[in-house]
Amino acid sequence: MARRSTQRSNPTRDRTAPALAQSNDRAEPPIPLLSVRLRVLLSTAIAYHLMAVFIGAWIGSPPTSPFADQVVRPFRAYIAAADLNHGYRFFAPNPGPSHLFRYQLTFADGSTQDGYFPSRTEHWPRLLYHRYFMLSENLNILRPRSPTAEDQAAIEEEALQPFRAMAQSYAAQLLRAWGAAQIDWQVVRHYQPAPADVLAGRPLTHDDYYEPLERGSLKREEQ
Amino acid sequence: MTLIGDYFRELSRSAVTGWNRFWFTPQDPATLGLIRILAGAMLFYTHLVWSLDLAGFFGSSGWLAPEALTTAYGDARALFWSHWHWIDSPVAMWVAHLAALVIFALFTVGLFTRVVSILAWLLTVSYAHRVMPAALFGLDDINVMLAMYLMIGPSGAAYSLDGWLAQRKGRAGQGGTASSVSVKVAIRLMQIHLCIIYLFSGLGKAMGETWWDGSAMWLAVANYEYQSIDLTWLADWPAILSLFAHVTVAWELSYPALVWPRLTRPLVVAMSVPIHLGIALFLGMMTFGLVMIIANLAFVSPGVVRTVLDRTTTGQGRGDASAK
Repeated sequence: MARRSTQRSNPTRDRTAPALAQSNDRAEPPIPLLSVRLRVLLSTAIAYHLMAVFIGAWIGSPPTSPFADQVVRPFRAYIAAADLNHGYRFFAPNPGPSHLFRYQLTFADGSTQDGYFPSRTEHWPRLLYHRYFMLSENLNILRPRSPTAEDQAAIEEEALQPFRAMAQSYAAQLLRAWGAAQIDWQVVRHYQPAPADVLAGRPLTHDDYYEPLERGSLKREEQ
Repeated sequence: MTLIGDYFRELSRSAVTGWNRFWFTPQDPATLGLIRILAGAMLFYTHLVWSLDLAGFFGSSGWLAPEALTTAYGDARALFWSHWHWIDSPVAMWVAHLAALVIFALFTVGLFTRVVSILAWLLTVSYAHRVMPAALFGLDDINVMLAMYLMIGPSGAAYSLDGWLAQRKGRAGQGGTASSVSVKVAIRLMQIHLCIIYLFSGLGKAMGETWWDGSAMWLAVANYEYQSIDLTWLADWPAILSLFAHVTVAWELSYPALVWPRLTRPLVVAMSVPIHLGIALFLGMMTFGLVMIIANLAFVSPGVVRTVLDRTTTGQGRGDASAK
């Protein structure tokens, strides 16, 4: 891009305090450094990119509208290739419960070992802990939801395939990492307590706050 | 009809003038240089931490087996290009990973910045695509955003080894203050992208009843897996907790509007510090909290950056308000 060198102001003569924030540039005269053709080209690219950022955020998290599903078409490849497909719905719509991946490894000699991730005591630094945390949270996102617990039990196995595929992938990794013969796993939901419970002295890790969800197992020879 | 015609002529003329002024006036690279140092350090740290389980996250037989990802997410993943799809042997993985860390380090100090900024963005996206979406969170979204715009603008023009070397050779008499249009474009894109992030973050929260009844903040601090410093003693202060929830939503929703007027901008940007530091310190996401604060620096003028950094490095202030 074209550049224009500007003489840096003399610090001994310039008594003007710097603005705390960048101005709206209202006072600046337009300086058309670039040719009209280049500005049109750049403007088109900027507009396309910003529309992709907006649409990527718009469709990045459910729910989406039929209109949004249409609008995204000319942008879909660019959004995916440039990694702009993010909803940015941090802690939204509500900060929900967490999910843990609990497992029991059985070794060839019959001994067993229990574990879970994410573990605040095992996984350090915090960023690594958060990576494992996202793995277990991801399972909850993949798990089909039903309005009631009774309906949840009736969810067909086919609908659970995406969830099970990822859970078994985690299980296979644990089997390989530990050299175990079998792994039995369970995804567990960890609810937040009510403020009154905490004031009454109940810890956040009380058994009542954990709800077992799906479970499965994998043997070494099944990998 | 003449009035209407005049209105539309004036509207189009003002829109073109305003657009040109907004995007195509040169800007001092100081802010971009500062963001490069901080974002580069964050990129380096983010990828350094992958080293602790490199084969687990990026190997073909790790946590995220390719066939499992395809079953879970379908063919849409075909668009998620990544060099990790082609690397499988442990030695090759480590060579590629160490090379990436060197590139992020060079980017941070600003050496060969023009080339390594492009490589840094490609690598950031490539790492994210391999483990997407299972192992990613907000930090990765913002890392990709910053890397992209630091690649578009001359992020090595200020506060860089490139600048220092050029100065030594007498090729940069301005000391890295040469304004350019590409700095302006990069900073503007960063600013608008940040507004879109806060808009959707705020809109997303506005859909949730707990952000309306104020219990959202309690649900955040009482989440054991997120918690890094225990704030559950606030259970006795529901009004304070709900106030925090309302302020967060109000700030996020108003950010895209109030960050542009000159008078409200410092207040809006300043608010990002306690809000994101709160996430960093109390909700166990130090990296995410810090990277959001780094992104907010896009709204700090180059004059302020130069005044603060020059005072820090030379022990005296250098009023450089004219540098835009």
